[in-house]
Amino acid sequence: MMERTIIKEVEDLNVIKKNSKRKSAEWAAFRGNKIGMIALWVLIIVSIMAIAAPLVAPYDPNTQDVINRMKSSSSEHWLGTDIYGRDVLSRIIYGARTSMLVGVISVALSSVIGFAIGMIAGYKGGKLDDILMRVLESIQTIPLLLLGLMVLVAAGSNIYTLILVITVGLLPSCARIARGSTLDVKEKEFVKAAISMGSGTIRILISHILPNVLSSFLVISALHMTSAIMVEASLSFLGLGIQPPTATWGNMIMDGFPHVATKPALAIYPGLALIIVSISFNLVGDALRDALDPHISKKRK
Amino acid sequence: MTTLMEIKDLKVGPDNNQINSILDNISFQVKQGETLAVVGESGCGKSMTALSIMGLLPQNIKLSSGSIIFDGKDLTSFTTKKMNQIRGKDMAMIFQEPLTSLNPSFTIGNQIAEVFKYHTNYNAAEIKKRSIEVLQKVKIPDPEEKLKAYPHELSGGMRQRVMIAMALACNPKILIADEPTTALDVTIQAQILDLILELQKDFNMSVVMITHDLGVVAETCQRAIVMYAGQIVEEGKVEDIFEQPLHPYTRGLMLSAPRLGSPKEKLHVIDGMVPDRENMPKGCRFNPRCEFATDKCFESEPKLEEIQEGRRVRCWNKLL
Amino acid sequence: MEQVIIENEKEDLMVVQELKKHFPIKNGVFGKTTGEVKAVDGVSFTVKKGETFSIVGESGCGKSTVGMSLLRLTEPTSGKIIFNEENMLDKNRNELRDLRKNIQIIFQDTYSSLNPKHTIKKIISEPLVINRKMTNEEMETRVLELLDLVGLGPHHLYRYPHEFSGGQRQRIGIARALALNPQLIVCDEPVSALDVSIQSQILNLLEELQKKFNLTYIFISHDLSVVEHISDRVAVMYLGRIVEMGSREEVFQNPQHPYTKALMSSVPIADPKLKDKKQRIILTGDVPSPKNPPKGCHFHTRCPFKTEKCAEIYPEYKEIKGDHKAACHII
Repeated sequence: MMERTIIKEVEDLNVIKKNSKRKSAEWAAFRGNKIGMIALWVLIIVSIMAIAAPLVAPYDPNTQDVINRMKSSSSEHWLGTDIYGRDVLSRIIYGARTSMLVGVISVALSSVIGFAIGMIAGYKGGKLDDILMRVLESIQTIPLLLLGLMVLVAAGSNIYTLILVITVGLLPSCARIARGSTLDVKEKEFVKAAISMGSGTIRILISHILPNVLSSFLVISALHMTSAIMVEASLSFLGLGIQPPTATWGNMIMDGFPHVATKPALAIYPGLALIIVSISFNLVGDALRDALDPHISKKRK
Repeated sequence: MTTLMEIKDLKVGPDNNQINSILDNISFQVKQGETLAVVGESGCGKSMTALSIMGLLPQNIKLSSGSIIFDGKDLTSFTTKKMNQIRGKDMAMIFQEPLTSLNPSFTIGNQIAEVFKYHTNYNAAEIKKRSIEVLQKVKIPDPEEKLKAYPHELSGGMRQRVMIAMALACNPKILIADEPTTALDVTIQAQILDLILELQKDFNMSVVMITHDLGVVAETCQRAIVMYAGQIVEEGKVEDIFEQPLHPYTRGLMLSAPRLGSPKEKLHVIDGMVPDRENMPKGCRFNPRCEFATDKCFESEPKLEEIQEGRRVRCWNKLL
Repeated sequence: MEQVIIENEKEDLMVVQELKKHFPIKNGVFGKTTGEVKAVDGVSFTVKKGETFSIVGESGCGKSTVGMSLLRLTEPTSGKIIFNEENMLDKNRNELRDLRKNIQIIFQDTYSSLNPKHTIKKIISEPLVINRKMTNEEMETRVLELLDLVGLGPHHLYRYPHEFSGGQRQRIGIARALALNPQLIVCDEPVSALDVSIQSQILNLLEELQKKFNLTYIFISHDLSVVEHISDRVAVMYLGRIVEMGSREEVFQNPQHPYTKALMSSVPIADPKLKDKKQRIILTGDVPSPKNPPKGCHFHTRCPFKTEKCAEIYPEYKEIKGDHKAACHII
């Protein structure tokens, strides 16, 4: 009998070893999603290019070369040059910088603030919840693009205002999702157990609620990157976002727009970049959701 | 008593691997008009047995061998279409949770009518008349009104009555009741069990009562099958099994449940827990938890032996 | 006689007086209150040190709400909960936190009672982190000690709840509840979700721990056989009120309230020989909604012995023997 007990213990230890790997089951599930992985690689490459733009880009994005203007693709200028003779590829790489910067900052701000508001509103409930949620809902009734237009026209265009507008615009949906998940988790008995042990509100929010809403945080952040980048591009296209000569995909499309009949490539290349990055964020978001969804992971088990 | 249904060597498992079967060589008979209990704890395969009989196995789980002879025909060879003609007519099933087994967006009347539409040629008026009749049979007060109700407007007990009414609508020969009272309160449980037994006599049908509650077995069934980890470990008449359980698991189950009216100092304990399918113990599947286990039990698996007419047990050290 | 004296010597640990919890029913956009669910409607009982006091009843009778109210996990509408001679309902947040350390709770649903994102070590050490100043080593020793108490090995420390079976998760819940050496543990259907063979393991564990630490349990359950097994005293609840209360022997051997009688006769007994001898009282109908409980005695709509008086006046408690009492007109 003794021997058997020992065997049992050893088996248990083996199980533990197996389980230490299991913590990354979500990551394994994500990796299993081919499309998601491709999209993730696309985003990694784009990010590296954006960060290392001065090293990667073959030319300075703002150097004009009037002689070589409106050139087609060649070995010197892979994607040709624009109406001022600036290298399109370099401008797209620098444009990625702007788009990603605006996207990452505004999404990070909106997700962090939005989740904080949502979690507090959901956990505390009552009047505070009512007030916070009504305010956010009233923001949400204005379409993000329209909100951007109004604010930028009124306050003038600069990158800070742009980031602020996108942040505020994305806040409500973050808060709503966080609030929903919080309401769900709050009713769980481990929260009641924590209260009976003497946990205060802050501890419960950080230690118990946060880990359980983190997956929706990641998913919504990835999906919001698409919205942020699209809105930034749209506003820049309308001439209200980032101002020339700073390259962004939006204002590159605007620059190429008048020549769309004669030289469509000028609008197509930045447009393509925009589409690829947006779709990639969406796909990564979907893959994340599938990988983190407890129902799906149960099936996996 | 004649045999109504015979299950032979039923083997059920995930379709991608044959080694870890969920049900392992399940064989038993259901006789005409009897109540047969299938007892066991969660994960023992009792519900899976019911689903195999009904041909309702989940998508990724397949019946890999064995036969289910019902009324002289082998159900395992039936197509879905042919099964559909039998299900709900000759054999019917009721589930544990009557709320999820009823469709929330249709009225009770609609859902009962559905059964008649599938299996009979009644016209609308006849269907309504028959629906009211079956609701009366399961003792639902003012049945005509209840036909218009939605499932959420009824209590748990009432919903289970509706489920029974639907199951009995076409006078089935066999009723499979999968934990029919587990989700209900005791006073309601008593009502429903009484109802099932009464209807069984009226319809002269066989009932397969799947349950974890030995009290339910003792009060409602004539014969019982005890299952553990996908196998039948003991079978016999209910009085015999309770009088002298032969398998250590059966004995352990009986001793470990507190019994009303005879409080004990300390409850008997079956150590450990049910093994999961991927780590089945070698030899007898109950060996890690068995207080009577000998070396033989760890080496080879006992067969289900018939030691008397209708009394079978799977154990090397039968408690005789 | 001697026994009676010993009984009386036991100190009162918790005295609950006229506890009420009414949930408002809100409707419409502005959340206008249109009615009340009287989940708990005037419940009084006393729990003595070291005993197991059970509250038994069917779903919707308010037993779980009583349990939650005792820890102020839901805020009672009115009444008094006197614990160690202090009224819990008068306390502010900080005072309450100190008092609560002495009262812990174990839940039915072992899935939702443990945070799925935390390891076992984190779960069990949480009460220690909040309430005790301990070094990491002291903490680990204490956690291992607690795990050992509930029969789990040290190799479980860094696992997550989903890697355990229901019975093991319940053991973890018990370890967490024991961490602060509480005096009273509220057990809210702790074994209802478990299989019979696991249920007996947990019940025995609870009894062992009670002896070892002189714990007091308030045991909430719908399962009469479990209640009879574990309790010293029992209260039977129906629609928000206690209809019968007394020592285990009295309530189970000599039930007086028709509801208690019906409840007991409904439990299927695992003994085929008793099948035909048993006198069954099968109640008709369902439990009425607590939104509008019947006038008079709440039970009169289902009671086989009802009189005219029952439909008019809610009966007073009648003493039967010792502290055994029941609220019924016909006793």
